[in-house]
Amino acid sequence: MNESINQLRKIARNIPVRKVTLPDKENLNHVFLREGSIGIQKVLDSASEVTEELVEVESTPIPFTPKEPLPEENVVLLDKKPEVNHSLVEDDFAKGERQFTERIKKRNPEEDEVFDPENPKLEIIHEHKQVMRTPMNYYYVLGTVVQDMGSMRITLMVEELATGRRERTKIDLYERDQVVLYAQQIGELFSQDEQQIEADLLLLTDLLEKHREEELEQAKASNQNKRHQSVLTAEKQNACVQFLSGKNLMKGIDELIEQAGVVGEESTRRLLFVIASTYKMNTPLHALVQGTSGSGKSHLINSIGQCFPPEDVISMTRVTSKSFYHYTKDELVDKLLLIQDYDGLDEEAQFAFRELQSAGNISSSTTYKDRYGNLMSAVKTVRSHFASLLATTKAEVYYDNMSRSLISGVDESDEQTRRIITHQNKNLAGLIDHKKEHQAKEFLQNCMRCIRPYQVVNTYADKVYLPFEAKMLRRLNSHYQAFVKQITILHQYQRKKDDQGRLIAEPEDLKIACEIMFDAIMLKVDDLDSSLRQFYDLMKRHIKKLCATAKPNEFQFTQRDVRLALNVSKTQCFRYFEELELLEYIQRTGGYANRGFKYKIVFWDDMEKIREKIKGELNQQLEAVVHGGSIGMEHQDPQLSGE
Amino acid sequence: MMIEMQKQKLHAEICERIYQTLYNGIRNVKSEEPRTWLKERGLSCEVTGAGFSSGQITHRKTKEYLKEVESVGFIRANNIVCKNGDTGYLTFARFGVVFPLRDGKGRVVNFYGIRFKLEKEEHSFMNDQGIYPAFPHEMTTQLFITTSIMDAASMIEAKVLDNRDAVICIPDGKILPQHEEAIKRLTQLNSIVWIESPKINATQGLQGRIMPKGYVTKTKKKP
Repeated sequence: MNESINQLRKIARNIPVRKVTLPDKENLNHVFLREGSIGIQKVLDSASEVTEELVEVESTPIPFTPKEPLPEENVVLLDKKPEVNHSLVEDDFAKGERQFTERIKKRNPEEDEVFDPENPKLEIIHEHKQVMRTPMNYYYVLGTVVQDMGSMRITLMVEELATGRRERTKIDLYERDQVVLYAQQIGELFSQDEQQIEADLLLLTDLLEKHREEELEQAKASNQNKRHQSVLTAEKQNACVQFLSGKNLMKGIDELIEQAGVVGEESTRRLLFVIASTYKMNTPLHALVQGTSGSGKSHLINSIGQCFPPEDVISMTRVTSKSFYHYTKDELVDKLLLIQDYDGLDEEAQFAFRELQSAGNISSSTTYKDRYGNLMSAVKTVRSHFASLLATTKAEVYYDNMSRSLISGVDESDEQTRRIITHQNKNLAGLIDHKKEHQAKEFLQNCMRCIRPYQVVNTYADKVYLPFEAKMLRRLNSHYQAFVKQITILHQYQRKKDDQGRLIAEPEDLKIACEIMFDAIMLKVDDLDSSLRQFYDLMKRHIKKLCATAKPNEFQFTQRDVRLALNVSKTQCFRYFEELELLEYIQRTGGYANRGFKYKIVFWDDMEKIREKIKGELNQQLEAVVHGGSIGMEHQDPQLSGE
Repeated sequence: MMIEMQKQKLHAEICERIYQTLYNGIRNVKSEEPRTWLKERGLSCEVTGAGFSSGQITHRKTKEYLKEVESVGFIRANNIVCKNGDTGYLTFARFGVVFPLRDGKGRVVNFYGIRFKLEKEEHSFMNDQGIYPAFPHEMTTQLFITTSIMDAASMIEAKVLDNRDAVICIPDGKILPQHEEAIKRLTQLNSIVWIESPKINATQGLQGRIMPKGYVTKTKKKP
């Protein structure tokens, strides 16, 4: 054949000729049948340059007669020379193979892993892309596979390995005719055996089917077992029980909450913790935290929430209007709900939430389509039994909402600000041990897991009456009684039980409840809401300071005086003034709209005094309880006693 | 000279007509066997241009037509007499797959037949003209040369040829005048790849009667 090549070189001058020799009894057709287009491409790539005049080498090996000793390398080289042509074929193939694999690698650098061409499997690149690799083609399944078991509509991309050509189509793999037709098309386009492609597609169908079923099983499993109870080790449980049966439990809890990262707010954090801990008891309570924006309401709520078992806490930043109606039946049972922005809820959601709070379930009558397409009506009921911590910026929340929850304010004083800043700085300086924080949270969580719901008998329930000045006394009283119960439950490892297995409340519980709840009760007594009360108190103090000489009743001041002194923003100050004016605490006395109005304080209420008075009264009652006596209700009624 | 050219033209015209018959023939419902044979080798008649010589080309044809076909060398008169008293003919590549070879003007001038039903496949050319699959285009830059027709067909079928690539077959590496002419025409050529496979040693011209396996000759005496 070399003669022919020489002849060819003569005909086509200056054109490089490359040559491939196929092995014995092998032609391109065999290669094509075995390896397809890739095989032929490999063979073509393995062609090597023919540069010299070709001489038949095989028959005339060069005899080697060394005249002088040569360096070792040369000897080896010369020794090997006659063999070169023998191994030419294999070398060419090897080279071609290498080039080919390199090319493939270059195309898919990330897909280096070895795959078994005999047993192709479905590899998941990501959620919306799966690939099955065969020696000839890559089959990509794009997007998600339809969940309906009756069809398998997929978007299929077939990539030919040799050329990198891609074909995309939408195909239902369960349609036999479609598959056969498509296999034919692809076979024609890629010039491959259509039966092989059909076999590949059938295999892909099997794999996808299997994958889909696995996914379904997983979904089922995760749906069924949503609520998992974490099991405590005996060691941890013992530690918790020891802690819960210790003296001064509330103080201990308070310390742990502080360790968990809540700065200041001593009374509020205890109140919130006790309220939150009612979530799996008979009478769950709800708390509404009021405060201006940026005062740390959400932080407080979240920190308290983190002290409870995470499997029982649902945190919602936003609630759409109808979403409460679509929970599964028991999803809201024995849960602690945190809503960071209660004003964000629209009217309908708030309504649903109120119903959930007080009625214990909501039901909505809706229509649905049955499988034959008929419209049917059904009542969907969501049961609820949860405690909630809500945060809001609005001073006056809708009255209905207020009555259902205990209201608490955020401490907005300068001291608290200073404390928070110190904590933040400490945190940034790396002085706070986050491990300890985490440990405290975990310990509280474990404690909550150890606490079980009990029925409580409060024999002193009729001995203590809340001040009649408070608004919505009916609800408040029930809140107070529930609160006492909860305190007893928290002390469940220290309290006695009666024959029916009910816990018996002790006077101490009433005292603690009163202590913790006092601020909340006072807020109910107070005309002003929490932040406005704080503002007004500060303002009064400031005005008193200003009018050291004059009579405070006649002292006139502008908004600016107060604003600058108390460091409140203009809008906030204006709002407070507006409200105070409406409630007739201050009066506009003069000035002009363009130059600023003047105000004076007309009602010097003394909340401190009232506080002390109510506290004294409550304490008196409690003392009486401890000593066995009782002060009747009539003594407390201001109308009866003529106050 | 003119006579020579006219002769060539006539030859090409007749071959073209024969090829049309053969090409139609392979797509006939009855031609199951050649189609499967091609399919087994991963080839298709549409791409490779393969036809089927069933041996029935003489059936119910006019004498003029038969004369023309005989002049090309596709059939040869036999001394066997048929049922209806007509002369029998030997056909080129009887019951075999046939590939067309074309000249510089793209006309079919020659055939390459593979009789696959015999015990050993018989390869043969009708004459020594033409190139399979065709003369490469003048703008071809890379030329692949195979030494067997099946290799060339496989390459076409595999679609490994890029734009401006071409493949021709130089049977058994024997460069004939038409091959030289074809290569000389290529002005843009910059690379040649020679793919060498085992020699086939195809015969040339219409061979004697070798019957397919299991074929029983039925001769009838002259009435």
